[in-house]
Amino acid sequence: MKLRFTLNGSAVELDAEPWESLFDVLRNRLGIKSVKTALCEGSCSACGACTVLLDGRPIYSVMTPAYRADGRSITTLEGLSRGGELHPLQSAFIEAGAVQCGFCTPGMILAAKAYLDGGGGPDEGGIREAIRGNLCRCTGYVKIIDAIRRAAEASGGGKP
Amino acid sequence: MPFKPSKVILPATREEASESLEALGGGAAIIAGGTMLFRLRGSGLLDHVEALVDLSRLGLSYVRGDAVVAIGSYTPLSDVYRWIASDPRRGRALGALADAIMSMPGWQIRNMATVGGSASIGMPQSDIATSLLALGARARISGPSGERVVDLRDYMAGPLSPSLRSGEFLSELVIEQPIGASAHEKFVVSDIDHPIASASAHLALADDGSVASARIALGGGLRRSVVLESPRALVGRVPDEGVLEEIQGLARDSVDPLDDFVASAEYRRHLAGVMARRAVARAYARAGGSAR
Repeated sequence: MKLRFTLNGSAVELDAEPWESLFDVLRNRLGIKSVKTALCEGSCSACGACTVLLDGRPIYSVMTPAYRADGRSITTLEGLSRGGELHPLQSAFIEAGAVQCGFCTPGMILAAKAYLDGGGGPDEGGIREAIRGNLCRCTGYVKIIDAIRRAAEASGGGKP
Repeated sequence: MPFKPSKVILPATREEASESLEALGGGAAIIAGGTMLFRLRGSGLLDHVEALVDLSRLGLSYVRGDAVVAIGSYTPLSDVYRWIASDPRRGRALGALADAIMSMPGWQIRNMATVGGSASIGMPQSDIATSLLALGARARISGPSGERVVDLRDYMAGPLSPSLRSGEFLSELVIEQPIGASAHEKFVVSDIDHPIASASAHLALADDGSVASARIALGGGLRRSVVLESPRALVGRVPDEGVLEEIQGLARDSVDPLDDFVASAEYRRHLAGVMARRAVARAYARAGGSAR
């Protein structure tokens, strides 16, 4: 079936099969390498590496039919920087040392972006819940939480 | 990949949806959020599927009502949670459903999975289904000859096999007169696992603080969900330690647990009691009760 959607601000048009996931289309056909699979054979383990934003909401692209993207807007990590300038969350992850192997980082940043865009603030409880659907096996989360807190504080998030 | 449906049908009206389902018969799979369907792509369970009938364009994403709460079957769990959390009275009465939603690991799942899908999967492992059973939810089913409403217990006939006739699909969950308070408790090894045991309790209190009516649903690793309607051990009494002990025993004796590498039947049975006890205690506290 013919799909038309917006990917990181650009119009995309392609044919997708009914059984293809959004992940299949993004990574294997559109070359979006920030979305990854990890533990999904037979059963999703909610690792979050396939996270993308669908109309601003974080979802797992592995479990989403590709055709659901039709007429909608998809954001991946590739869409965050502007004119060579990193997104504040990307900068905060670097400053806080929140990246080790980097596998989980795109999903973490997108989950955090949805949280901050939704008015989320620097409180640790809110940040932990925001990234609960994303696993990191290197950092122990401390620096990731620190990075999101820095970005929240810089943007004034969570204040009335 | 064995799961290869040749088409997706996106009906714009309920009549179209029913016509498609009737025409396709057993070759059709109804798709809502799609999380379970896409998770089972490689399992072999869906190899017979020739077409997906998609509920996304039927206007079934809503939560509304006060005396009677109606939740469209296509409503994502995140929307249901926000609706409940926006009002303290809802937060008490529908607390079990809010607890169940927040017990799922992360907003990604909550933004995708729907209430109707969770009910239709029909597995005791579903926290959402267990909470809806405790809330006495009913299933509004849309079909070729109009609508019918059945108890969710009857709709949940078995795993991945809801009680639907030809051309029918779940359009709405209905919770009548959500009063009192409810809570959901579960025991999991890690966030992403199915619960080893779970329980939801819904209590309405009398003026003297005793329990006027109660419904407890037990889920997790059971052969089938269990619903205890106003157990005698609870009604007319204040759930103090002695009463909670009785509830724990009652729940333990009511379940038919699985026995597998995750947990033994005996352990699941024990935890069913503990979860029921915790759910009742938390629902009672949420209702404003105090067992001295």
